[in-house]
Amino acid sequence: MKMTRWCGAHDVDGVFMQEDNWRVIKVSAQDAALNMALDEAVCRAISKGVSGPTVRFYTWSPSAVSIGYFQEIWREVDIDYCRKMGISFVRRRTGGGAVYHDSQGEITYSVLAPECMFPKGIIESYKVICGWIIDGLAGVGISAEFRPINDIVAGGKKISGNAQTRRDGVLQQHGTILYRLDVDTMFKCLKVPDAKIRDKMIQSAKERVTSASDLTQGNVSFDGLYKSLLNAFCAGKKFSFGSFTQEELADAYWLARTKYSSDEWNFWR
Amino acid sequence: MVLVERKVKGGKLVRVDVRFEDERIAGIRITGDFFVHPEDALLCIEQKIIGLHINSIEDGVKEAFSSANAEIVGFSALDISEMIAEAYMQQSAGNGSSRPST
Repeated sequence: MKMTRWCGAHDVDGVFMQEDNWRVIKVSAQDAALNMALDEAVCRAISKGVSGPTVRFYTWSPSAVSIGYFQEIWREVDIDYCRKMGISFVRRRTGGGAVYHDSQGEITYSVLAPECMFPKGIIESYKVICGWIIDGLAGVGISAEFRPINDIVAGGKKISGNAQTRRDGVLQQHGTILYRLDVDTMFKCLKVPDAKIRDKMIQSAKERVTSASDLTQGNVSFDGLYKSLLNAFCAGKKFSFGSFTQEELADAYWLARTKYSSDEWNFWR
Repeated sequence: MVLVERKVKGGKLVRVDVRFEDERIAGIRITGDFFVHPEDALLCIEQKIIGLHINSIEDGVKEAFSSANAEIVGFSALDISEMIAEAYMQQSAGNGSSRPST
């Protein structure tokens, strides 16, 4: 994809005049609060013009449930079960639904970039970034397609969910690519309307959701999927591998402690 | 509060918790797995809906959404006005739900 030139306030200081100079941060595992805080910290840095467009990959340790910005956590998450099992929970700053993030079962990505680098239309911009995921899945032999509003399906089943926000001139899209599915734990963490239909819902989810491991009969490794996604996200871009800046890390640790770990944020609404 | 839930066809799951007093909307909370850009616009929309008379819900909700200048993904203003009307009917019939303590 041809990326557009830097725009708006992001090039006025001449800091990031170079086209397509993406920073790619390799996969690492963090807890839920820090994962969400890192995304926001990078967005803040991009908005201030001190960081450039960034792609990061990550996993969740311990496993966690994230809920959408407009959801009510008490309606979506079995808080008692999560606390008992050491599963974290966090509210995202993006909309969308509740997601169970198995520490070994998925790869999460975030694309954090000046808004002007992507189509103005929400669905159009989903298509662009989801196209990178589809290319990454193709790299391990999985044929997938974008299903509006924000999903990717393979063989008619969902394999990736994505969510986007745009604030202060910065686009943030993050999403998960399922490597291995643990529906039973997922439905223990997430509330179901009626316990009597839990088994039915689990069966239904197995029919609607799939994973890279399932689709390849276990022939693709977690690392194999990650490397294919990494290649696809980097393809056609000028990029370099990097890490978070000290300012971003300091901001992220502060946000993790004061915002994403707080009841005020997580139980908001 | 009266709760009405709707899975919008081709859209998202939306829940409306609404409270009525003297045939007017006294409180409303719109939640679900949808997207609003910018996100803060939803609070403004909710504020503008409060005070609407039950007879002017459709136009009032439409105005609240259009004046917010937000991009909504997953539901429409019409969904919300229909859900509010449904909630009012439920309340009139004596069916409400309350939020559990957390």
